[in-house]
Amino acid sequence: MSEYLTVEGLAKRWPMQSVEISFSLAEGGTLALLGPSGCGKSSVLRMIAGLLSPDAGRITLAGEDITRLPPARRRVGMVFQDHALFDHLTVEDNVGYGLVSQGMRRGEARERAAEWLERFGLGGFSKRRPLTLSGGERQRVALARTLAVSPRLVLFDEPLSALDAELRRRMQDELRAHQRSLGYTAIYVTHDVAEAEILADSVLRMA
Amino acid sequence: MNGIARARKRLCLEWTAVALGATALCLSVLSFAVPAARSVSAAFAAPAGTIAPVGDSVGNSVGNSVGDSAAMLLRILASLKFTVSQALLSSALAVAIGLPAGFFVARREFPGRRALLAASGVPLCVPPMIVTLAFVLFYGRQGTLNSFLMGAFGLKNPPITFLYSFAGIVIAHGFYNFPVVLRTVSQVWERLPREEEEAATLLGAGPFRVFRTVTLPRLSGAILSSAVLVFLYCFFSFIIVMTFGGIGGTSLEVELYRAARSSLDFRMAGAIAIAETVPALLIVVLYSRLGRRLSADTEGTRPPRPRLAPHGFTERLALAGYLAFILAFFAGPLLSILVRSFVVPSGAFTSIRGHSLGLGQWMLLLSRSNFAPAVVNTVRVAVPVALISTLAAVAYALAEDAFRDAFPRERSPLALRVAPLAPLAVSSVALGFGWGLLAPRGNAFFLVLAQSAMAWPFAWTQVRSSLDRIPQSVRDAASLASSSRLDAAFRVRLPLASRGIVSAAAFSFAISAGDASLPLVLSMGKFENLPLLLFRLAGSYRFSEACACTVVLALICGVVFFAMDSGGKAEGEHV
Amino acid sequence: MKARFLRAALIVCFAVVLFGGCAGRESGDDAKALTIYAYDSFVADWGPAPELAKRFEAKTGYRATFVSCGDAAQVLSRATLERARPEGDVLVGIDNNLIAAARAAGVLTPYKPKEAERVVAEEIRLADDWLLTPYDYGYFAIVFDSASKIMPPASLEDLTKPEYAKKLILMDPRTSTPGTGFLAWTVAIYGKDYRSYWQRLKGSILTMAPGWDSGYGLFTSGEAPLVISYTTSPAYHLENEKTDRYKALIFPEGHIAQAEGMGLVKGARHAKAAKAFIDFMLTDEAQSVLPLTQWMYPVSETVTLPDSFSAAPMPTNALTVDSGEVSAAIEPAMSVLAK
Repeated sequence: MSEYLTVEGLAKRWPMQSVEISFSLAEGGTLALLGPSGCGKSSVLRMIAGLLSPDAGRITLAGEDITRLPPARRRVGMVFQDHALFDHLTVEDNVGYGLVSQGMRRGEARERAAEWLERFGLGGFSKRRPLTLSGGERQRVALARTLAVSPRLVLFDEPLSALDAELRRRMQDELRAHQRSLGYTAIYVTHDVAEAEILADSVLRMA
Repeated sequence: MNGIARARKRLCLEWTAVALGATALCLSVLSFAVPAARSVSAAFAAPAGTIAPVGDSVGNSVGNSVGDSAAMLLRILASLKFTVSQALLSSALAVAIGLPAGFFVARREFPGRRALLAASGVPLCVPPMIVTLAFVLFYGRQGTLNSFLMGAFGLKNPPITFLYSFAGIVIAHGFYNFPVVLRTVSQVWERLPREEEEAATLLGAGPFRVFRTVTLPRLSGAILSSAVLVFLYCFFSFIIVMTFGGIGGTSLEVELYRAARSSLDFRMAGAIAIAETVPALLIVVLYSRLGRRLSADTEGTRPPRPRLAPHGFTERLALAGYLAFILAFFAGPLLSILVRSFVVPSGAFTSIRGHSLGLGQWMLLLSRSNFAPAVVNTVRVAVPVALISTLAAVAYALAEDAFRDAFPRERSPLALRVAPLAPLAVSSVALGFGWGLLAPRGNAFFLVLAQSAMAWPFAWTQVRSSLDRIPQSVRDAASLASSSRLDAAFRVRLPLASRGIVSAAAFSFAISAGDASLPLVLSMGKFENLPLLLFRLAGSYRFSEACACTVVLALICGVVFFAMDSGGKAEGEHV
Repeated sequence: MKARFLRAALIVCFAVVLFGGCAGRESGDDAKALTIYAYDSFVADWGPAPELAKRFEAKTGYRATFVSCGDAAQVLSRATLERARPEGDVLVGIDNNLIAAARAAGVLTPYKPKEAERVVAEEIRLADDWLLTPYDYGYFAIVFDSASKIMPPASLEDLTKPEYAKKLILMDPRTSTPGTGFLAWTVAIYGKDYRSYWQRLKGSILTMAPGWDSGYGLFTSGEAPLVISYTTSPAYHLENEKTDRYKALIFPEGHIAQAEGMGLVKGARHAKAAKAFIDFMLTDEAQSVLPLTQWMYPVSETVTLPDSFSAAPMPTNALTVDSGEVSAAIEPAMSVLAK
């Protein structure tokens, strides 16, 4: 059975270190990449997203070889550690950004955004600006933005490390629940063993 | 219209904008490269019909001994040392004054803060001749300061006499240029993340140590870039150096001016242009190598930290003291120009403080039939220059980003990094000389191009530093969520850099508005703008009117800067 | 929607402005047109050009366009660069210092205007073959601020006295005509010993200003009581400012004269109109425009000088120096000052 996502021999070399990794993931599956900081796990994510070009290897997603595709065409979403919201846009325009990229009318995109925000408990936040939100709220907006375009794969780069412990625990449960109910395929990068085990079905340790 | 068509249409518009930007960039680069190459090539192949130099040129002259030529060459080398040292010290002074100003403007709220920031654009548009007059009016032997001190302490001789010396040059340069440092540094300072400083404080570092070890390294990129701009300005400074510089001194720029414009020894002019440009280019190259490393630290589009009122007595005192200092030593000379514009000629008087003041000269200026057209011409040219320079700067910055995305591991080639700053390494006299040799039929089109060539490097520094502040993660998020990298640039990166883009436009406007030499070099028949009018007034005894003209020019630029500063309240505010 | 509109507006603006800029082209060929290259203050609004153009057109029907090239050397420079295909028809402003260079450049062709013999006195003539025709002349002099508390000097040597330390504003001969004029003066008076004179003068010089404008600006701001300028400067102040505070000092040893000339461009496209202009410039109609705009003496002696010119003293002795000698003296003099 061919897997939904296969990563074969994905490698990158830097002067001081190198990383090489292979794994596969079923549709709807979750994987945690676990390792100390600096071991290259974020780079792996970025290679899968297309933000970093690998020295070797192949990535296949839903039967398509995406190794050479530009990031915009891979239908891969990514949630960043610092949320990376677009400060110059309102929350609803942030969430609807990807939809507008695909050609949706702005009005319609905003309606869809409102739905997503509702789903994340942020109803009424539409016209707010990212800079006025708290960490947890920003996290959710970032997730909404990523999910709104129905990506085939969602990558999480240390999504919770910027949050305080209490919020973090809550968000771990939330993320897990979301993933189960929406059924997207996810890879999480984290350095926290416990978090890895909560969020994902399988864990891949990186040196 | 369905989704795909809409996306395609948007892409189409974006590519049109790119085409416009690329055109602007090509025009700007050519408008620099062609006259620069022409002026330098004169050294190797004198243009047809060069006048055989009647004076001195190295090696062959009429009636001039070889000894004199050798002496002149030695003097030129000595003058290079003089020029470099004066420029270095002036930059250091500008940074020394500009840093505290940057702090206060970035982090504290006080009355006049916005005015100070707006005023920082003014020196760009005030012609150097007026600058010297301003400093003389204030610091001169019969200037405001000396008159005050002599009157207050009953002295016979003016106590402050540093003006006509090396110190005078450095002080005039430093005070005139500190606003560049102020503006660049404050924009970065107000966005520095406070966590690092707070962490250092909690670890027991006193405020100075925090500044030295945490803040200063993060500011070093901004400090360095503004210092380089100031250095280049001082390096090519000509009128200030000559007026204050001690008698008989020579600088490369003076010799170039002479060769290109009075002795008409074009080969010599070409040679000097090369001799001048090489050290300047070296500085630019050096800066490019250092600059990249330093600017990597300034990521973060956090909003400007809230500005507090100065707290504590010492801080209030320091602020008040510093403001008084700025008012006296920077605003003082500029205000002297304002006062001079009101001086109305009348009968006998003993000192400028005894002059009668009135609106007479202002009325005379404003009622001149060529005044309003001069104002219109100034704006009519400055706006397209601002447009083209900014477009060129944005196009180049985006091209750099695209290159970096495509080849992330390689450092961009030196040529790419030096290219936008290269026009700053060539003096305006040299460029004017080159334009003169090309001798196009002067018209406004060429003027706009020539000025854009001059202004786009400044525009680029503003755009570049704004774009560099966007965190990598935001760039990545935009790449993933947009329909293409170009789309990401237009919908996310450029809006987030809007502050820098507007700043670029304002700088370009000021540079164009303040330029009198290019219209002359291009021999534009009926054209007259404010700086040209100013220059003509000063050249015909009408100094009060010339000062009034300067005030008008400064006001126009001040308004542009003020509008720009108020326009973007917080970076990232969507229009 | 709004952004799209803004973008479109921007593009339209850009295009308009870009092409609008081109619209400022000079008018094309025209039998009645004439292009005259002159230095900047000649062409300025309060210079002679506007009035001269008006009177010239009224008299002859030719339309003169004055183009400013900067200073006189730039006029020559531009003409030289255009030599193969001259755009200018007349060059205005070539003075006695530049005449050798003008001749060497070969951009002018001799033309003797109609009334030349009658109007232009022999002493003022610039060239025997009438390569250049003088239209006005003046004398350099030290101008003195009578409101200062010092005794006015009576000779170049006087200027070196210790009581005048830092009280003299000069201009750099490398970049300014009055600067060259003063240098020529020292060469005329001291001959081969001009270097030692400059050595003695050093202490008196406050600054070598880059141009007359900054130097004179410093003077009228009270920085120093003595400046090198023209004998006619007081006339300006009397006429426009109603003050006789500034006085031109006459030195018995003599003053350097500067005569400004105009010439017909070799291969000019509108030679007929150009000749008509040069003829016109010697008529009293044209010459009478000059005093109050140029602040120089018109060559024509039949023009009544305005009252304010009474404040301009006449030198008893006019001096001239060969321009080659003056050019050769620049470097040595500057070297002396630099030490």
